[in-house]
Amino acid sequence: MDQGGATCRRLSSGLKIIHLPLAGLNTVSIGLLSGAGARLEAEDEIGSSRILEDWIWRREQKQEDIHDILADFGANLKTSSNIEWTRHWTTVLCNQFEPVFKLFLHDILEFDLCTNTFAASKEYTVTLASKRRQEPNAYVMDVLREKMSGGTTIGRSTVGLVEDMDKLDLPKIQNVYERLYAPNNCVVAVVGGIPKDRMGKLLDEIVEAGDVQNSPVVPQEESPSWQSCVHSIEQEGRLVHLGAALPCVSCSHPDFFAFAVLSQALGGGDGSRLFESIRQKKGLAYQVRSSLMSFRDTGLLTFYLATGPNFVSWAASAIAGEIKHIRNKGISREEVNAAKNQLLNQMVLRSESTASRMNTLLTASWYPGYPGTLTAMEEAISAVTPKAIQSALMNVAPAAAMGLVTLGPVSASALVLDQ
Amino acid sequence: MAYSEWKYPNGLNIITEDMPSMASVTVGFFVLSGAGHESLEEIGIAHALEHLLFRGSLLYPKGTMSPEFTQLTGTMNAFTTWEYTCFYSRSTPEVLSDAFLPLMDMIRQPLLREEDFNLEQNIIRRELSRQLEEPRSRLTHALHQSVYPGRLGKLLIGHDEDILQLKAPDLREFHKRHYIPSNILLVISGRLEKCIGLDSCLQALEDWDESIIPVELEQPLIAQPEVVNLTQKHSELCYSLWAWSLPPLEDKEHYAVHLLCTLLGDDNYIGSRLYNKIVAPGFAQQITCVYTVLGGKGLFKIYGLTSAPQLEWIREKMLVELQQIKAGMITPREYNRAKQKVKTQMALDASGSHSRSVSIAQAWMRHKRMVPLSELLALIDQISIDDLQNIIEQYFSGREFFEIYG
Repeated sequence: MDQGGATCRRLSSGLKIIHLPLAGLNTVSIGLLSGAGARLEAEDEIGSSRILEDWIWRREQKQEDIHDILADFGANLKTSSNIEWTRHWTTVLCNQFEPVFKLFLHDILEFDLCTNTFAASKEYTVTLASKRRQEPNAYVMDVLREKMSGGTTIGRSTVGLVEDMDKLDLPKIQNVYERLYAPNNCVVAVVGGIPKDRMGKLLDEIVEAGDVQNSPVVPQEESPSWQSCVHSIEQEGRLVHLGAALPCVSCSHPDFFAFAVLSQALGGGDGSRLFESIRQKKGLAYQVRSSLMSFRDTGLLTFYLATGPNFVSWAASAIAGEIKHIRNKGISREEVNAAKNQLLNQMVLRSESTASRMNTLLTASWYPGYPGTLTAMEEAISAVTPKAIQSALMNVAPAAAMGLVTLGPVSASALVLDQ
Repeated sequence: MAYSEWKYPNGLNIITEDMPSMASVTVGFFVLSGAGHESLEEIGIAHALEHLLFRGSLLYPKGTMSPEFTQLTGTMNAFTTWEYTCFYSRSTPEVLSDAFLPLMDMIRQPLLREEDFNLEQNIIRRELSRQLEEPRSRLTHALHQSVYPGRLGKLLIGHDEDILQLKAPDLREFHKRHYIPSNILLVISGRLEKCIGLDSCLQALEDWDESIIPVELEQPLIAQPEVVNLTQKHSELCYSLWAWSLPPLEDKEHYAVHLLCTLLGDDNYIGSRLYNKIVAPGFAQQITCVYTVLGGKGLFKIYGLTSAPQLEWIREKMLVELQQIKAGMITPREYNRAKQKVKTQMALDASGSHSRSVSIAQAWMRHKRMVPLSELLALIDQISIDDLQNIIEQYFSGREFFEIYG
């Protein structure tokens, strides 16, 4: 199940196409990642990438509408985004591959920015932005990143803010599209039951489109220096949602996998330290998670849980206490090995999904240094030692530079940390 | 995909399906009792038991969420529905028995300790708090309250007072009655050829005796619905749910109504009737259709998300579209598109060992036998435009219609 069999071809337009054939599957996933995100937008363009994420698929209602044709093939379209990229992908039966692939690329890279549907897309995106508050997990993480960013572009909202989007007009978004959806600022991955020769033949047929750019658009500012914070968004309810974060590294940094193993050991699921101490032993939360939020030049090690207002300080202290303990005393070899095994298991299980493998290829292609094959990833995880984790923590987050944000019936002044 | 199906003398039903291109294998124990089998005094017990089983069993007293298990077994999890409760593991085939044996033991001989239950009660109440924050979950619950008079009208996991009144001995009693081999379906799907220890795992099931004489399971209450129009506060962003009460459709009609859902408005991003008429022009942000059967009653549900001023217009537009389908205005193109979408979705479900195990179990519960994917695809192919039209004509007129906004 390695991804070592992947091949890459760059078209003259600059568009990079990666193909991984997997024998025996009758489905294929096609994905395109563009460097469109809030971090790459100018001040007066903020929110454009999110509107484009929807607008690209919202065509004029005419008889031979392209997106209806895609739907005729049973194409199941999905999108996702963060502040540095936007992904569009679909999974179809292999016998529908060629026409869907052509239409998919055509729809995204030769989008005609139809004016009739602009208002609908803007309205939709504004709704998503205002709905964000009803997704407490995501919302506390947005606010946490913003508060810790010290006002730099890395703190921008993933889904956009209603007030920013209200100011956007069509020419501004057109400008963002032409800049960030240029073929050279995009990468395509195809994973599934399509053999190499079939893919090669198709690529030979493709008529290339779009202007050539010299290089992908990447954030120009210096890596931000994360700031600690304690912030509360007070609202009525039974639960307090707690987001906490610690400065971390980018996904191409040599310490990335040390943090990945640490995150797994702390709150990567059943059996992790925080799962045991907060959920299993105290019964204080239904879900306790930690994960890595990674960008091109930096990252955060994040924690999330939801508990009652009387327990949130205790839970926040428990998180801070575990980090302090590992920073000062280290972590046992057994615990590191257990976390590594869990990560390796998850990696193999995720590799079953063509969409998941396609997304890994897109990430590896977009972030230089991120391992693109299962073997490379396995090696990177296996190489992590207890010592490497402790020194990574001491190097990147030497002090208690944590950020904390709560959403629920508790004030910031009521948050008292033991650590 | 090659499959086997058999039944042990103790009544346990087993299906295995080999999926050679998979990296994993899923073991799913489907206990054919869920929240719908609870009495009004037992509200929340099926879900509470699902939680408590992970806390320890006779041979594995530390439970299957402890660190020594989780590093070996991949994913181990469970979920409770109205009709059944599923416990499953998804692992690499080489470690199948490391996952299988603890999973079997926790279902067969859980410890169900009082002190563990006290902790789980707290956890379940946090889970409840999360559910009460989710708009779609609240809409569905409001609909069930209106449609079903008995247990099915309450929350699946129960409210605080229900959860708090449960005691560990109640859970033991429920376990004793329902967690018996003849009330369980075991589905093993994935890369079977690479499985180590599969035969001995299956052998271990043979001596699983019925601990008591199987009792007739309680039948869920059949609802006596009334026409209800629940109108809550209209906020700027409005979640809505329109639902029609239908009979529990069987055989071809069952698949036809699901195809109708896809044609009208599925989760897919593009190309459905209501998406093209309502969402794409910007009148709503979301419209999806779902058909469910519960307690001898079918519900055809349309969920919407829009701004409050658009709500009335959308409601009218949606009813007009249903009228048009009733009048036979379905184009061959959209009919074929819906079929293609359903087939693609089935292929996607069949491309993961876990999703496949759930699909196999759900089809088994409907047909009381293994239904191969090829047979399901053939059933979809047999559905005609007239079948879709008939569904609306026969079952939507004069039926109870519910509207819930919030």
